[in-house]
Amino acid sequence: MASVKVQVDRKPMDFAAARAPIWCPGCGDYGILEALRRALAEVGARNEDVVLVSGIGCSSQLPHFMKTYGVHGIHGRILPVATAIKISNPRLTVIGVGGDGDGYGIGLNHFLHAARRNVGVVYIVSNNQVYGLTTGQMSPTTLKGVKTKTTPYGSIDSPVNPLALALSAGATFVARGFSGDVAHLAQIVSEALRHRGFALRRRLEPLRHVQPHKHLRLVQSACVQAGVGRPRPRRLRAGVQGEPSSGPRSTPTARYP
Amino acid sequence: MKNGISYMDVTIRISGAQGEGVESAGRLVALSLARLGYHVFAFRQYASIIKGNPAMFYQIRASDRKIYSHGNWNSYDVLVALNKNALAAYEGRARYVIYDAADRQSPQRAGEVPVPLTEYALKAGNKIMRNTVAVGALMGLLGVDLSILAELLRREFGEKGEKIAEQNIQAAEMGMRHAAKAAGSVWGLSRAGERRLLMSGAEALAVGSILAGMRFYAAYPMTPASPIMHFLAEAGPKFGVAVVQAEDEIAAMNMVVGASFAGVRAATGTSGGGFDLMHEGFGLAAMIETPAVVFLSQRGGPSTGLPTETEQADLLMSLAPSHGEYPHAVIAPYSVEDGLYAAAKAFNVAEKYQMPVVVLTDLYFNESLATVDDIDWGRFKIERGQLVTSPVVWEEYKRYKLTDDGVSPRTVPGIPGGMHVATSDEHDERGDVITDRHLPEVRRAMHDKRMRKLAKVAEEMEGPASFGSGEIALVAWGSTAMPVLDLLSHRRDLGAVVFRDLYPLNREAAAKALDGGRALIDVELNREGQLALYLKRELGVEFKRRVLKWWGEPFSVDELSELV
Repeated sequence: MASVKVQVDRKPMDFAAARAPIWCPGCGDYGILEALRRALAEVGARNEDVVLVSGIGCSSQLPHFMKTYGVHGIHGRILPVATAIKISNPRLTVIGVGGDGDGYGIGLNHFLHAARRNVGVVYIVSNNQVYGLTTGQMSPTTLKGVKTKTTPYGSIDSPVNPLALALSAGATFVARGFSGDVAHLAQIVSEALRHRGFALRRRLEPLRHVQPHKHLRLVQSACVQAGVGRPRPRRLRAGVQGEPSSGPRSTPTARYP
Repeated sequence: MKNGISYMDVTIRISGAQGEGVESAGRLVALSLARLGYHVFAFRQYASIIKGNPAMFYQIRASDRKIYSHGNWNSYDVLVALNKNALAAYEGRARYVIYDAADRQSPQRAGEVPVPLTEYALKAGNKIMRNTVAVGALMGLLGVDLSILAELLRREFGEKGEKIAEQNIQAAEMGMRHAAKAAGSVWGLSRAGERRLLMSGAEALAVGSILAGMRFYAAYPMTPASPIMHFLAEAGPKFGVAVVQAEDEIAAMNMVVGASFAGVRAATGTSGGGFDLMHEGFGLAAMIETPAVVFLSQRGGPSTGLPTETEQADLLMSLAPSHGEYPHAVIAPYSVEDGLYAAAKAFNVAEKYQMPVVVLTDLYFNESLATVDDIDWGRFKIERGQLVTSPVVWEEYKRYKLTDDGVSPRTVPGIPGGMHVATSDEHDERGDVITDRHLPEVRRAMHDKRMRKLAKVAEEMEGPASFGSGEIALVAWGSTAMPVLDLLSHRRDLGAVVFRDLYPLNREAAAKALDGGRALIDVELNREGQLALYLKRELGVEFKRRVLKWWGEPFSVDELSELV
């Protein structure tokens, strides 16, 4: 892969911008940021050859904490921007980062078409099953029965199944990690970055899609909702943690303050 | 014969049901006459349906002097009617009428040229070639040599096989002989000069874009902008242009922003409804100071409106498409030829001032065919402005540096040290988000910086073009200038002021052009007189009259002559 030139001695902090992240303490986005930096160091990427594209939401702040090029665009349009950057300069490493509202709600259309076009973009979705930045409304991955600001009696909609959608639309690398397990997440992201080398699919390159499961963010958002303002990860029911974000299964009842 | 000087000026209307071959017959005639060296203009009126609409038409006008429009609505030289409906609808306005002998028992007046279209077509091999028989008959009447038509038919049908091409030539020949025998070669058109280049307005925009160095085009199909994409999809790859058919206009606009951020000249094209969807991305381009070009091809609105008919009702929208205040520019080419230059200029303005630019046309402009001559190649200069192509020091580099003219040095991915985040949130000189704090002084400085660009852009905007010296001045913009300019050629009492670089307005030049005590008449294809409203707002200009039309067809020369 031309853009990821192997250089020794690339360290995660080589990708850190001067500015410190502004997320709430305990937010899962810290794990994703760290994993991304480690993965870029691992594949030996050069700062000037990396472009991070994000939309709007807590997780979309991420490019500002990276010493790379970035487009922090408008809500839901990460993939059209990222796709065009990659087509315009295929030597670049182009990574989309955003949340579940951005990618599976307002931007779902682009998600399917980007997978179908199969242009070599890595897309990392932070799925916390809620709109965090707008203070806690139902998202497309919110489970049935969950109470949010816009579903005070519990969500009545079935959540989307993003990974199944990605596969059916033709994505060639689909993985899920957990922001609390940075080492594993970093490994997934570097595999995604390297994926192109594996897929010898003529000139077209595969879309790679990573979906860290961010239960910590889920709790943080619940706290925002309740006005508590700090994360309480222990409140999570053991059974929910680590389970897929969607799919037809029994509905957890409201468990937030 | 006009003003005592002998000009060849012939207007032909070919009419029939949609699906009957009016479209291809019209193109064939326009191409033939352009090849003979005539100035040609061809306009197609059609409906939003694939087969049906009993009397769509193609109106082709050819002359041995420069012409800008399709001519008159109410009188033309030849009508070619492919069915009874077309015959009934238009025969009263034509001197000669070619129709299927099967549609009428015997001619009712002089000038009728019945030709057994169906019979000849069947004889040549297929009923579908009725239109070719009719074109042959028309060429017989015009006195055009069969060889020109034969060459075009071979090129048109060559892909389908030699047999089909030869059958069509045979069909044309039968029509030609019949007409020549029945009516004679009335015009006796001979070669008028070197063959001329014929292109549509949409093609002019596409060619102008390629000449301007555009390398990325993303769009979603929408009449009348689609022909731009059709042309680029075919020709683009030969010039290194990537063409993406996006999933919607939102994606198309954001793709343009992405490609442009990566350092590639990029554009999209759409009509009003699609542009509505692009507004947010348009504002993004302005906010992150990334060049973008949008070909906004108007049609009748609002909503789906008149999908296949022309209008100029999006001028006011184009002046302020997205929310908030931001700099952008609007350029409206006024002839097909000008489309080449307008497109090229749009890319330069967009890149030099790092902002979105609208190229405002309409269906009449995009879909009409016109001969283009004397292209001024010197007008295609690529100016990339403050593009940084060598490494910079990251710690010092400010992507949104506050400057006097508001334009800052722009790096693109791949330039070492130039790393920055282009953010849709308000940001500081480095591009860092400031919206997690309350920083009114930074907001004020950055907003001022962006808006400062407008003053500089206004200097680059050309003032309106003035034509003629009559005491009454018709004020027009965009494609309405086309019939206006033709009108001027035989109405010496009139003058015209044509606005092309609409926004930001070159106020001094505009005020000068409109001054001088002449009575001003606003001529536009909308109901509210949008240009007049705009000029009143900007310059306090008062118009004596407004000549407006909003029912889906362009002005014609005879119509304008009566109205003013």
